[in-house]
Amino acid sequence: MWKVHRWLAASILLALLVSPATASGRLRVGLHADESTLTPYSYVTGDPGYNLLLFVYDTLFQINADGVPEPWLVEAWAWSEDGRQLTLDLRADVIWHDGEPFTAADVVFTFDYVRRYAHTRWTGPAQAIERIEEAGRHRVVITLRDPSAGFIYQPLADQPIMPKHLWKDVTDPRTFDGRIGTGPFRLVEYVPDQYYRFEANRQYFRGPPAAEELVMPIIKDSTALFTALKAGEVDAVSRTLTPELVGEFSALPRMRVVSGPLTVTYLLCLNNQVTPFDDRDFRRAVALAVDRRDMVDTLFLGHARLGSPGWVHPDLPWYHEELDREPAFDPDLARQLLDRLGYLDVDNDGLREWPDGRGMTLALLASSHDPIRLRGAELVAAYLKAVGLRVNVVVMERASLSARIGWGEPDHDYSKPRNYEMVMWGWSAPVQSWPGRMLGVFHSDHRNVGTLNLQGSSDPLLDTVLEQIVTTADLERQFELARQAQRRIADTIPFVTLLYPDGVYAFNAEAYDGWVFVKGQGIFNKLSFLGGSPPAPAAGPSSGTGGRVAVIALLLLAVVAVGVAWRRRLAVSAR
Amino acid sequence: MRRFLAGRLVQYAVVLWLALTLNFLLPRLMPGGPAQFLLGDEAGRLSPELKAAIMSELGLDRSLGHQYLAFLGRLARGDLGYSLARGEPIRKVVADRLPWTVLLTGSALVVATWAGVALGTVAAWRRGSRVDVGLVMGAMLLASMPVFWLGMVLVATFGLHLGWFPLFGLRTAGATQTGWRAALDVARHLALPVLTLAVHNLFGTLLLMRHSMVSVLGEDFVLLARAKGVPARRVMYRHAMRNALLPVATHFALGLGFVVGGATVTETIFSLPGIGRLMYEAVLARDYPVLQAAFLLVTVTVIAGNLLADLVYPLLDPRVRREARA
Repeated sequence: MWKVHRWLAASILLALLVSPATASGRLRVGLHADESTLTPYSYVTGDPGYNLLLFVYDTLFQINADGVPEPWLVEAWAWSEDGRQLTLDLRADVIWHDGEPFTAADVVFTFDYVRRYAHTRWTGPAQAIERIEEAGRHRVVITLRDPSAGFIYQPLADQPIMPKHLWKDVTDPRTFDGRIGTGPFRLVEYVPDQYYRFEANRQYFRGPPAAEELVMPIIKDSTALFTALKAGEVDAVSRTLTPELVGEFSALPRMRVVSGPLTVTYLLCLNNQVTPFDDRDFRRAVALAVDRRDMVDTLFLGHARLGSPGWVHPDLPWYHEELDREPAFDPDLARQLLDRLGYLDVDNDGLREWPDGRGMTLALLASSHDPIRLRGAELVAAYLKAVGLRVNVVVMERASLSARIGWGEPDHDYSKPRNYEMVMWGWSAPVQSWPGRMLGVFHSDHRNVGTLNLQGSSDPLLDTVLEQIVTTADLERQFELARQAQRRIADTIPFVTLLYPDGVYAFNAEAYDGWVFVKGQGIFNKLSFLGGSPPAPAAGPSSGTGGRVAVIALLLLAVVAVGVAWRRRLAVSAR
Repeated sequence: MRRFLAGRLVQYAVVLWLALTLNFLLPRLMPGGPAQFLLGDEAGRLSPELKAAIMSELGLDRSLGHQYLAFLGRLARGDLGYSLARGEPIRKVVADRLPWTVLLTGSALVVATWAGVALGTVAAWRRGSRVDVGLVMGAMLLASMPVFWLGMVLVATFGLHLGWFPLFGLRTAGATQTGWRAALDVARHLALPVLTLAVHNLFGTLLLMRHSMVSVLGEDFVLLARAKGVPARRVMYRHAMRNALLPVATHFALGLGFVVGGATVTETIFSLPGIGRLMYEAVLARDYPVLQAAFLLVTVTVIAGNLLADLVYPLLDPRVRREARA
């Protein structure tokens, strides 16, 4: 009986090891999230979900590699004199994945639909539209409530256009599994929590994409994701390399590592509505005490850019260059400022007290889901301690943290100050996609306009400048206003912009090297497959079957030998 | 015998009822009440009218007694509610994942028990020797390693460096194999996770088997068998091991109870779509209805595992049968 067992086990092992490996000829990209059925109403996250959505769908305008919108489904467009009416001429050579032609009716339908069925990303921007009409088979006329310089960015370069013939009767968009778009890839298979499979749309109006087939296994654990990349089980991943892996991946022969600017921001957010942070000089002292260069080196091993006092990423065309010359890190000046404000160390314990002599401890909140923010919080606490401020780092679960600071809370009472002192925070890349987005982060009307104004700052002067940005269509003038706004932000210091991490991506260059880095957003986007060379056939499994068999044979021999020896000893011991 | 069985069944029914009732009461005891619990973060975004409509649709505006009966009724029909994060019926979410978890943890349990029995027997037979000490120490060492670490070491060794096994997932993404090739593909993918779990759980069975075997080896019938001149292997496997297996059988049945919830970490490391990872993600997404359903499932399987152990024991051991009859 035992013999049977042994042979059974051995043959199972053998079968497992020598069974054929994957079919080749396709590109495999590890995905760090499950994005459901991938419709405009079912995808889950901005990154990678939204980028993946645009593999299947197209927008009227498309953000190009420089981060600027260019016409996509649109051939020509014209603004009216008053800046309220936009005429769009659509391309006539676009067809849906099911063969139906794409027309103006689909565009009108899409904007009507997203205004009827609420969606957090689509509905708001579409509300700017007063009227949208078909003016011919391939012409759409949009009338806006107010002139808007950002309308091209959002919604036009953001809103995926949905096929009217498929969606017109859908009343529950969240559960509708409609996979038809006009995009370069067709979604042919989705296995929840396991993988997506896409096939090239050979009829794509910009020419067939550079990959015949895309397979995207879902690997949520980041260690597992990068291990799979290293082992060659995937050819690229949807996520940027963690800083400590950059060196390791750069040294691998098949791998290429590219890096570029991401407009993701890391902030030390200060609650401008509570003492002592309601005092601009106190905020300035905090900003001067934080060693941002050290944070870039410690947290990102140098793979990040120093935060600008004007909040805007230095690689963006509307960046205010003179802000580079501001004193960034000056703990002595910070100490002088604090002394002058009356925060003195009365009891000589090395830490400052409140001006009335009470002991002072500031709370710095950090979310437990992001280890980099956690370490950042500890660094900030150390910098502030060096100038005599006692900071207590409070780690909270992400949802509890959001609730505490009043982020994403529908019932938030804006008449009361937010309930925190300092928090390690950050905004995703789209928040810097064009100058008008500053309105959300800095405007004083926290309820309606400054919906991202977590710091609770209010500055009428800044408001005026920001409001002009969104109604100024002329780009140079728009950028000039954006520079004025940055100057003002650097002077008032609503929060401390710590750094912008670089996007560092590794991929197997032998499998495919046509990846395009979109400024601010990274390589995981459809532009990477439009205009590149087709991928080389994927290499076979890393170790040959022959070698494997030899190893197994040796192992089996060893097992048998041990078994024989064991039986002998048993016999001896029984005697 | 029948009375013994009936008594046991009544006991388990009471435990099950308590578990269900707790499961019903927990969301209702939580701050924010059941609406917050069932609707999650959406609750604040809804208008009062809509909230009232949903409350009445879910029967939450009725008395607690009514709600309790309705809850039991839904359970009897297998209706577990809706997942907030996934927008799907929980029954479907669970049904998609349960088979894979059972396959993973079930295989691991079988492998761990098989290896534990074999090694435990050997260790007992040669107790006090270097082999014995080596086996016990080695198994203890492996058991004390955190599962995630063990998993990562196995991935690094057999997946990354040797390239023998795939590193993640349940099957080759986008593969089109069918039949036995597809089964083999799944088996290859499950090899490392099963090994991880099995190695981690080996120690308990090994130690149990060794102790049991040591005491059986001291029995007179073993001495008699040896005196008769029965070969050592025969004494070891036929006479001693069979009798020593009893506690292991109980251990195995109890282990079945942890088949559903016992692989959270392993499923996360290997990106497997199972109940454990479902729970983990439900915690992150604050998907309370899914958590509630998962806890219910885990509770029920643990109770079922215990019941099974109780039922199987008299079948295996005539002494228990006799005692029960007496």
